[in-house]
Amino acid sequence: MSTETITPRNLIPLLEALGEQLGQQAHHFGLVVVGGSALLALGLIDRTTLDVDVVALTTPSGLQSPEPLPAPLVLARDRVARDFAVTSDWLNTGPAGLLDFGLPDGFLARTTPVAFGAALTVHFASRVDQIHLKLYAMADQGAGRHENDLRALQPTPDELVAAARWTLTHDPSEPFLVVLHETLAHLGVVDVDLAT
Amino acid sequence: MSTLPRNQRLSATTLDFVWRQWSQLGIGRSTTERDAWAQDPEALLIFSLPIARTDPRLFDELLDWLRLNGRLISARRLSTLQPLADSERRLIQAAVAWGEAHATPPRTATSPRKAGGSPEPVFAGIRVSTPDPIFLAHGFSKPQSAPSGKSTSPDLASPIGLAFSLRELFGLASSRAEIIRFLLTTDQRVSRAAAIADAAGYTKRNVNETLSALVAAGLVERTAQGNSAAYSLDRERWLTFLDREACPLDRAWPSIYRALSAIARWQVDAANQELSDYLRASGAYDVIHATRKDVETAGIRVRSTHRAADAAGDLDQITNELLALLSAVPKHVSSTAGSPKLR
Repeated sequence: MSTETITPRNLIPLLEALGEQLGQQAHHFGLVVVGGSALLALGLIDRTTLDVDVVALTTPSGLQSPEPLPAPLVLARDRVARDFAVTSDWLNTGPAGLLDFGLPDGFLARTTPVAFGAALTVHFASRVDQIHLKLYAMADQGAGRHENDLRALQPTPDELVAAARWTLTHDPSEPFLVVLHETLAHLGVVDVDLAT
Repeated sequence: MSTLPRNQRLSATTLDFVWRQWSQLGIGRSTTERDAWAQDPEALLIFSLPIARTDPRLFDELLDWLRLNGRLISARRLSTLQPLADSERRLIQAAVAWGEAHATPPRTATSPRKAGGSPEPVFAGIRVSTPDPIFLAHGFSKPQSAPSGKSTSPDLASPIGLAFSLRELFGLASSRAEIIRFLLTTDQRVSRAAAIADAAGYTKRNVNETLSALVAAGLVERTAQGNSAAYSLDRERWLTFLDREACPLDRAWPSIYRALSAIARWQVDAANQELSDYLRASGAYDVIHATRKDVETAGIRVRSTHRAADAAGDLDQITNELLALLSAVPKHVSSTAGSPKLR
């Protein structure tokens, strides 16, 4: 039954439905979304994705971990999943761990906030921050769709170097540094000093 | 096809149906109509009172009917079949208490507890200068009214009055009358105890005990069906005994009424909240899920809805099929014509 993927065509209706369900419960949430769905929403890629990755919730005092997802949000998410026949974890907190070591400086200010009714605002990560996250994912998990997404963002060498330096704040280990250099080289950036 | 909006079509059809049923059962409006089915009095009463809140004349005639005929209504079945919503439960209790208090002589009525808070109007938009004390004690504000005195006793020989006829025979306190009514009218050749208990409105244990007694008396036949027992009766013999020419038809009234009530409540809520198309569809999905068992028991196939976008249309289809079950049916069905039922 739950077989639908998230496409450029159904992403916005899904989020609108989520906003309406939250409105029915008289709750408001601000979500910070990264990954493929954020790239889709900003028109930076044109492919299907499996889910909407929530990295943080916005609160008056700043960003907050989305884990565990608040009960009203889970209820609304599950109803939308049922109504649109998508998998029940179509909205998930997979990248929430990124918040532990920090998002790139100025991340929230660079997001594109979109209101889906009065009860839901989604902050889509900016292109430059997605370059940071996609480079980290590519170095950490291998190429594939991450490489495709990263190339679709057409990063400059300077943007890749800045992103690489940020990834080292999450994993400063020597093995990761080696992989990171290899990844950068694969992307055409060689002989860079990441320490500065 | 009616051009009324769907919520008005449902309320208009059910209101007309309720008038038609109670007119045949003796409320103060003469009728020449004669439906061919047997009614379920308690399920009908539970279904009717909330609907009659839109028609004060019907509401007062129902109270008058309860005054005269309340002794034919089973408090136990009312309790078993009654709705879960507190407001509707209290409304039914108030109506029964009103009938008991205005009967001649008054039947014993339990003292209602004093309801706290503001009373809920029984009729929207009607100013109540002198509230009825019995309804007020149940938390409702209703204009005080005297019994109309128009009600008559139900025609026990009519198809619709079969339940009352059997209760006069077997008594109100026993499940025998309900079991025989079900076995006499069901379209199944044999029935399991669970199905009989559901229709009878008694517990399975009670129904099992009564079935055993009826089998021992030779009035009901028990046959093995797989690992369990199934029951039937000799319709010809029973019709002769009851001096009836034909078996009344059966409808799964409690299920039909529960499903229609749930759909009506949702339609009113959806209209009041001015929901978006999506939320309306999502709500329709909920209603289909919540009523599926009752709708299927009523003999209507519920297709598996895969997404909310299809649910609104599916619910319209289900509603239309349920309303079609309320339509008049041919008056006579031969007792030997195989299936006496239209579900």
